[in-house]
Amino acid sequence: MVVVVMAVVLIAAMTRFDNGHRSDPDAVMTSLLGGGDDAGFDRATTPRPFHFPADHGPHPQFKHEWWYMTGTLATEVGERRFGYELTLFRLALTPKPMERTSKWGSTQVQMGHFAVTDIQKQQFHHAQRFSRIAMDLAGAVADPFRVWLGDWSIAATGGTPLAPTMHLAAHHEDITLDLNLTARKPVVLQGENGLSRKSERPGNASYYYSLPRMETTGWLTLQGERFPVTGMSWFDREWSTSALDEHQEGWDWFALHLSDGWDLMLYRMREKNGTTGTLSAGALIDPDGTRIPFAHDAMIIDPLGHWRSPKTEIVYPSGWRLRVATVGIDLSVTPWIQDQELNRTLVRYWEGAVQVRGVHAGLEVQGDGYVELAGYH
Amino acid sequence: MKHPFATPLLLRSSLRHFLGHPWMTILAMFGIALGVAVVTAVDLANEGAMRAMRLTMASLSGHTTHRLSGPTTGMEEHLFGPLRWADGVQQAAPIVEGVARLVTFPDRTLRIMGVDPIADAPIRPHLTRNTRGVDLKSLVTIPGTALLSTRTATRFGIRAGDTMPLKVGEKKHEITIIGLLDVSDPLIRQGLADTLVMDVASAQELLDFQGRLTRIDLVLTPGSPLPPAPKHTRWIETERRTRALEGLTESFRLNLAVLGMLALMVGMFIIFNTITFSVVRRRHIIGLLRAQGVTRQELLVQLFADGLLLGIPGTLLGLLLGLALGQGLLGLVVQTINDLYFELQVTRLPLDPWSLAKGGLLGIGATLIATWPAAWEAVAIPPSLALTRSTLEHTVQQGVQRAGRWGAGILLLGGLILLLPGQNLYAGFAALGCFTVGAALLVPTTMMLLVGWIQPMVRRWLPWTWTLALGAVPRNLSRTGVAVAALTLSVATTIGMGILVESFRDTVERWLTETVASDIYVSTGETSTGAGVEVGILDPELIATLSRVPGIESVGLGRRVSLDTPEGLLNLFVLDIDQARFSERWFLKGNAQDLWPPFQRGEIVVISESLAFRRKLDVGATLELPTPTGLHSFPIAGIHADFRADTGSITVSRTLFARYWDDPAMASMGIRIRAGETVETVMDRLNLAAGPAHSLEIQSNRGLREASLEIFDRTFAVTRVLRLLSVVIAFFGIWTALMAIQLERTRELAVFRALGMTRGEVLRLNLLETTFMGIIAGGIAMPLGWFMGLLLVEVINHRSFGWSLQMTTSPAMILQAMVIAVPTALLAGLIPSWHMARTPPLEALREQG
Repeated sequence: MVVVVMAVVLIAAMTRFDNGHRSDPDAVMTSLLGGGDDAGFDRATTPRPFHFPADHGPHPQFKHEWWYMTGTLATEVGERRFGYELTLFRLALTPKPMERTSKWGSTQVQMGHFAVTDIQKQQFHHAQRFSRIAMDLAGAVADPFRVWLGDWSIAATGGTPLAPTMHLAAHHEDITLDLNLTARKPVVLQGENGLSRKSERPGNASYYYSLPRMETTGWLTLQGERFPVTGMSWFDREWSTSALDEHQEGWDWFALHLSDGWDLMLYRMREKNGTTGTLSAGALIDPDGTRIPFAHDAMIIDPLGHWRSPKTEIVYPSGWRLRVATVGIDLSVTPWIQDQELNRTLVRYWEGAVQVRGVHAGLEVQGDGYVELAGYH
Repeated sequence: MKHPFATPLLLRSSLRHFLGHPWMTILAMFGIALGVAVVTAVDLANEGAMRAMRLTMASLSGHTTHRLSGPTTGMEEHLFGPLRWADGVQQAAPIVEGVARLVTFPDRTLRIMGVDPIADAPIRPHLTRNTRGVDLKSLVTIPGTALLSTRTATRFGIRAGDTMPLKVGEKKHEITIIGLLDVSDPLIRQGLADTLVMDVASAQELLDFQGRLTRIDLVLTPGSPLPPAPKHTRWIETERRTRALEGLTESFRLNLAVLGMLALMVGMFIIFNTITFSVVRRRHIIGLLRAQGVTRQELLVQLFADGLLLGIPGTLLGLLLGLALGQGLLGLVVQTINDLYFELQVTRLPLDPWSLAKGGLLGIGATLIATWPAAWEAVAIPPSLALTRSTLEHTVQQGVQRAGRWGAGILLLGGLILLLPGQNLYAGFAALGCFTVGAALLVPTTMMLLVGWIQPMVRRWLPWTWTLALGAVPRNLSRTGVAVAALTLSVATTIGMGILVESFRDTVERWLTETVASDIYVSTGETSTGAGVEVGILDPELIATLSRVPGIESVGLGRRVSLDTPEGLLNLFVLDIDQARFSERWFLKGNAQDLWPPFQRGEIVVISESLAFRRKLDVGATLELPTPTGLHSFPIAGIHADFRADTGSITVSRTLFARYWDDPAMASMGIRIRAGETVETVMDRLNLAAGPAHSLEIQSNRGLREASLEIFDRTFAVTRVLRLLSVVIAFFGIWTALMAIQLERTRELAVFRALGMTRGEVLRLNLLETTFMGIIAGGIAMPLGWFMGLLLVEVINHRSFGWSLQMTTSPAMILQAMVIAVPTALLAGLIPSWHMARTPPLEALREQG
C-alpha cells in the first residue's frame, strides 16, 4: 500500500499546475504590444483645438487610439431587443514610421472587438480580431472618414463634419450587423475642451470627444434570422499615450440615453484602495448638444448588486444607483443581461447594454445605454 | 424475520472474524480498491492520452488545416486580404519563404521563413514564443531583423545581437539576429533547423519578393466549404498525417480499457479468497446456525453482506484512488505535452460521473460475483456435514475438479467465439474474457498436475524440505489455488499489455520508417491534392539536376493523385523506385520478390490493407479505376500494411500511370544519402543546386522520424505505470492467500516444530512453498500472457479496425513473467512465513484445539 500511496503522492507532486494561464496567442500579442516605452510619442498635456473631419481620423503620433460605437437596438414591433459594441483600437508599436519597400512593413496594430447582446435569449456573443495596419488589411483615414479591420468598419457617409452620418458594418460567423447612423447632436468635447485627465500626472490624459446621440437603423442577422432594427448609438473617440497610474485600478464608464432627449456620460476612476479618484467626472448633454459638466464630488455611484463571471471568476458590480444632485439626476441602471463579459479577448472587461429608470429634473425618465467595467480581476 | 437473533449472531461472527484478522480484511479491501482504481484511472487518463496523441500528431503538421499555394514564382500578396476574414476561415497567415547563403560559410544555406507574428500567433504559437528576451516589436518594426533557433545559432557560432552577412543570389545583406528561439519540441526544433524566422516584410525585402507571397497557411472551420481559390492558386489539405494515426490511437485506447478490467478481475480473486476463508473458518458456527433453523436464504443474505462489508469501502477507496491515479497519469501525459509545447489550458481531469458510476458498479458487482461461490458452498451442504471437518478437503478437491471443468468449458466457448465470422469488436473482447476466466479456473488443476509430475523427481534429487514444500502447494489448494490464479492473471496481464505496447511502438516505428523512408524529402511542399487536381509537379530537369548532387546514394520518385471513384475518393500512389526500396515495403499478402517484375512492367497494382478490408478485396481480384480513357480493370497482386484512417490507397508503378494516364510527371524525390555524408551537408548542396529563388521544400526526414518516435515514447510512458500497478495488485493477492494459509496451517507447523524442526527450517519451508507458487504462476502466465497479447494484437485490432499490428514478442518479455512472479510471491510470503516461524509451537497447538 505504501508503494501505491507513494506513487500517487509522487505523481501528484509532479503535476502541480497553475490554472488560468492565458492562451499562447495572447502571450505572443502581449509580448508584441507590451512594454511601456512611451518615448517619442506625443502626450495629451494641454487642451488643443479640434478640427473635423481631420480628428475623426488617426493620430499616429499617439500610442493608443480608439473608435468606440455602442448602442441598443430593437425590432420595429419591439419584440426583440439587442445591444451591440464595435470597437476598433489602434495600437502603435513605435512612434516612428519606417520607409520600407515591402507593403507589409508596419509599426501599428489594429485590434477589434465586436459584441452583440441578445436580450430575449439572454445570450452574449463576442469576437476579437487583430491585424497589422498594412496592405489595407486594417487602418483609418480622416477624409472621408473611415476606420476598418477587414470587414469590420465605421465610415462617414455624409452630413456635416461635426454631425456626420455614418455606416457601420461587422460580420463574424453567424452574426452580421449593417447599420446607418445619423448624429442627432453634434460633436461634444469631453473633459476640459476635449482634454480628459485620467490622473494627476501630466500627460496621463487623453483627447476625448463623443457623438452621443446617433440615431440608428439597419439590419442585424443573428443565427440565421434577419431583423430590421432601429435604436440609438453612442460614438466615443479617444487618443492618448497615457496609462493608469500605479494607484489606479480601473474605471466604470456610463453612457446613457434618456427618454427626455438628454444624455449622460460619467466615469469613475477606481483607486486601488477602493475609493473614487478625484479625476472621476461626467457631463449631462441637453437635447441641443450643450454640455453641463460635473466633477467627482457631485456624483454618487452605489452598486446595487454583484455578478460573478462563471468563466473568469471575476466579480463585477451589477446594477447601480446614480445620483448627481447638482443636475437633478437620480437613476437606477440595470444590465439587460448579466453576462456581457468579453473574456475571449486579450483584455478582459465587461461592456454591456443597460436599461435606465429614474428621475431627471423632477420628472420620471427612462432610457438605455452602455456601461463599461474595466480593471476588475 | 423468523429468527431475530440468528442473523445478528452471524453478523457478529462476521465482524469478529474480520476484526480478528485485520490484515486480511484490509488487504481484501485494497484488492478490490486497486482493481476499481485502475479501471477508473484508465478511463480518466485515456482522455488525456488522446489529447496528447492529437497534439503530437498536430505538431507534425502544425495547426494549419489548409494551405493556399501559388506558382513557384509566388502568388499576388493582395490575395491575402479578402481571405483573412472570409467565412469559414478561422485563421490565415501569409508566408514568404526562400533560401539565403551564409557569407561566412559559403556552402551553407539558411531557409528564410517570413511570417506575420500577429496573424501567425494562433497558428504557430511556438514560433514566436519561447523567445528569450526578444521583443517581437523589433522583429516587426525594424527591417532586416531575424530570429534563429538556439541550436542553429550554436551551430554557426552566433549570439543574440550579432549581425549575419547573407547572400541572396549575388546580393549581399546584413541581418541582425535579435533573439534566439528556445524550442523544446523535437519536431518543431527539427522544423526550425537552419531557418531564419523574419517578419514577412523583412523577408520580402531580403528575398526581393515584394508584392508576392509564397503561400498562405490557414485554419479552416471543420466542415465549412473551401473559399474559391483565386486564379493561379490551389488549395492543399495539410491535415492528413494527423488523421493517419488517430485510428491507431482509438484502438489503443480500447485495449487499455480492457486491461484495466483485467486488473479488477485480480481484485475479485482477492475478495473471493477472503470470503472463502471467512466461510471456511466459520463452518462450525454456520453449521450450528443451520441446525438451529436459520434458512439458506438468510444465510446467503448474510454472506453477501459480508462481501459487501469489504466491497463497499474497497470500492469507495478505489474510486478515490482512481481519481488520484487518473490525475497522476494525466499529469504524466500533460507533463510531456507541457515539456514539448506549452502550458495546457485544461489541467484538471474532467470528473466524468459516468466513469465513477461505472467504477462503482464494477466494484460492487465484482464483490458479489467473488462472494458467490463461497456463499453458495456454505449454504448448499447439509448442516450435519458442515459440522464435520473432513468434508472440507473433499469439497476443495471437488471444487478444483468443478473449476477445472468449468474452465475447460469456458475456454472452449472462447474458441468458438473466435471462430465466428464477422467483424464484431465485442466478440473479440468476449473471447478474450473467456480465455482469461477459463485459464484462471484451470490454474488449480494445472497446478495439481504440475506438482504431481515434478514431485517424484524432486523427491529423488532434492532435500526433504523441498519435497514437503512442494507437496504443501496442492495440499493447501483451497488457498494456494486462488493465490496462484490471481498471480497468474496479473502477470499474464502485464505480459499481454507489454506485448500490446511494444507491438504498437514497433508498428508505429515501422510505419514511420516506411512513410518517411528516405533521408531527405524534396517536394514543392504540396503534400496532397483535391480530386483530379494536378499539382506540385517537379520539373524533370530539376529532378535531374538534384539527382546529380554529390553524396546521394539513390533517388526514388513519387506522386500522389486523388481519384474520384464511384465509391469515394481514393489515393493513388505512383512510384518510380528501385527494387531495393520496393522490397522494403511491408507486404501482408504477396512477396516483394515475385511482385517486383510485373509491378515494374505496369501489369499489376498493390492495395493497402484498409482498402482491402473496406471493399473486401483480395489478391487475385481486380479493381476498376477511372482513367482519362475510361474505366479500366487492374489486377490486385499484393496487399501492404497501412494505418491511415482514410479509405485506403492503391500503389502503381510510374510505367502503369504513364501508360493509362499519359502523364510521366513526378512530384517528390526521396533521397538517400551515402554512408559518411551528413543530412545537413547534402541538404545544403541540394539547396544550392536548386538555385536561389527556388520554392522547394527540402526537409530532413531522418530527423522527423527520430523526433516522432521520441514523442511517441514519451506519450506511452503511461502504460508503464499501469503495468506496474497490475503487479502490485497481484502482490496483494498472494499476500492474502499466504496469510490465510498461515492461519490455517498453524497447527500443522506446530506439529513440525514439536517434532524438532527449527524456526529456520520452518521459514525456509514456507519460502520454498511460495517460490514454488511463484514459479507455477509464472509458468502458466507465460503462455497465457502471450496468448492475450496475440488476441489483442492480431484478432481484436484486425477485426475492429481492419489493420494488423506487427506483433512483437521478445523472449525477454515472456521470461519477464518469471522475473515478476517469483520475487512477487517471495516478497508477499515473507511476512506470513516469518510470522509462522515465530509462533511458539505450544501456543499454536492450543489455539487450534
